[in-house]
Amino acid sequence: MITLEFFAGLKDYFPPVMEVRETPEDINRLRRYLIDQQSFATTLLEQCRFAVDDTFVQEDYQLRQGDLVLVIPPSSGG
Amino acid sequence: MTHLSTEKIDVMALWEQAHHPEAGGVVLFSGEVRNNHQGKEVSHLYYEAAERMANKMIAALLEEAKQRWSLQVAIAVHRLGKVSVMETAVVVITAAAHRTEAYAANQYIIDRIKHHVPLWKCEHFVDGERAWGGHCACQQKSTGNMEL
Repeated sequence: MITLEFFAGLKDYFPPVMEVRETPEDINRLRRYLIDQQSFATTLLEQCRFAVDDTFVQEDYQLRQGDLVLVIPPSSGG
Repeated sequence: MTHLSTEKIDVMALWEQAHHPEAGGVVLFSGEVRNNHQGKEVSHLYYEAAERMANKMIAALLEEAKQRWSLQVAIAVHRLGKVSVMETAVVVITAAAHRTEAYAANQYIIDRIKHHVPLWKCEHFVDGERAWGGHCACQQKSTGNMEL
């Protein structure tokens, strides 16, 4: 199981925190899983970055049981 | 130091911290909420962050800028929560021996905060609509996209 944390506009589609029982193999598969869950959020999910342990990770990052994954839409601070 | 604040940013208090005997140039940028966006009247903005990560990234960014431009002082604070028109949403202050470095570092820091740090704005309009994540003017120029 992994835990996901969603931010900003993604919270229009997902709860702020969500658990995924079957740990996807990598970020790419996680992204595809989320798009399957909420196809209306496809464009936004395709633009998102992901972070584990407060560090951005790449598409091939191997997810592990217990990971806390931040799903990060494009930044718009300032 | 925390670089995120749910309270109104005291710009002048930060300015007081920005002076240094070796710094001949001190630059202060205050990003403030304006009352319109693309012809629509803005009521207020709401900011959210992946807080721990954003705080770490801003701290690292300031340290990087201090090294790169030999800054004596580098300060950045970003507001979270509801921010009203004319209030400061983000402040960046840089102090260096000369103005060229202070300006360059300040521009670099604010650009990185806007485009890379996990921070988001939600624009609330007077007509009751809201929209997450309007890109700033520099990204609109480079991509042609006016919205996410």
